[in-house]
Amino acid sequence: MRKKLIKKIRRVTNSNISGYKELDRLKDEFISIISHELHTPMAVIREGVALVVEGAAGTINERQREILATVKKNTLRLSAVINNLLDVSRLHANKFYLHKSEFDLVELLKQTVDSFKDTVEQKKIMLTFLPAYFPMMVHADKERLNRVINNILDNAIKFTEKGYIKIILEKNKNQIKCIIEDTGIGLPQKALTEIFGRFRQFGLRQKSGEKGVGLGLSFVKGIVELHGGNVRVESRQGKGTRFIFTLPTKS
Amino acid sequence: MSKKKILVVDDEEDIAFNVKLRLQANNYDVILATDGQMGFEKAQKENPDLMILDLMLPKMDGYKVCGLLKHDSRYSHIPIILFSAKAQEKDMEMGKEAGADAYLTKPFDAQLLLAKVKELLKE
Repeated sequence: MRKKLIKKIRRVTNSNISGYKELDRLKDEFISIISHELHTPMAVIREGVALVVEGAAGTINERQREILATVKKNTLRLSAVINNLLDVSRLHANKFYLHKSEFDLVELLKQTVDSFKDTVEQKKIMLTFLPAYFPMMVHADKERLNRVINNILDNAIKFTEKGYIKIILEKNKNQIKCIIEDTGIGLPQKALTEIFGRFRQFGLRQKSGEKGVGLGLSFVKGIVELHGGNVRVESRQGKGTRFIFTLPTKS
Repeated sequence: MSKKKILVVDDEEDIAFNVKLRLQANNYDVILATDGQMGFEKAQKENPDLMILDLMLPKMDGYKVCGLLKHDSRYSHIPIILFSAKAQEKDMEMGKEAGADAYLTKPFDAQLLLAKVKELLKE
């Protein structure tokens, strides 16, 4: 009797597991098809707007330029979401290729921090990066790493209303450690283990229009691990959050 | 000096249209073809100064068109830019083997494309 039951449970569980796997695979396929289907029309719209703005179809007036500027801004925003979606589905399906080159991580961080200057000024918070006086060379995918840093910083800024965001780079023999620390609202305990999963939002308080789709940190983890590094998060609610990721130094 | 002539082969009409506008805005003559067979025939008939060739095409794919032209001494001098959404290293390898002069990935970056065109036309 008991043996029979165990057998049955095993059968049901096994079929459930393969069912879930199938579901997961279908979901990945779905994401991949959808994002490809979004990609091409997006590119056509973006290029069309660019052509008109640049005057390839005749001169346009100031009002028309203003309207097209908002169209452009929003196509860029959509493109970023589509790119993240594509990359995360590729990462998950192990179909991801890094385009590695040798570059200075300090320089990259300086540029990224610079691109957030206006945003932090508007929010009246501090964003500081005290770079080392020497370059820190890495052999990595520069564009993807740029987006990793962007995603972490973007979150930090989104969830920090007062205080500061601080970036620290440390280097020892085998690895470079990048710490991004904020004095924002912090994360609930439950979120700490799940935050790198896909489509996680945790219902954190956000201004409207700042929702996102919950793929940014999943991308971060995937990319950092593909480079042979790791990422973790420490946080206390109401105090702030600290993201730490490592990368192997150029060997 | 007469305008340089560029043959664009792409079955996605809207993309071909954008590429055409972009090239025309930069003072090139543009001819379009919407499948591999047509692209191959127009390359022979029109003798363009350069070709921008999509990979996934009806009737004959881009590798094949590229390979056929590059192995024919009458047309092998025409620079070919392969242009595709497939961005994997093995695709670029295959492109090189087929004799392509450059490989760009879609969705295309207009400035990158123009820079490549200029470089290959030695302008």
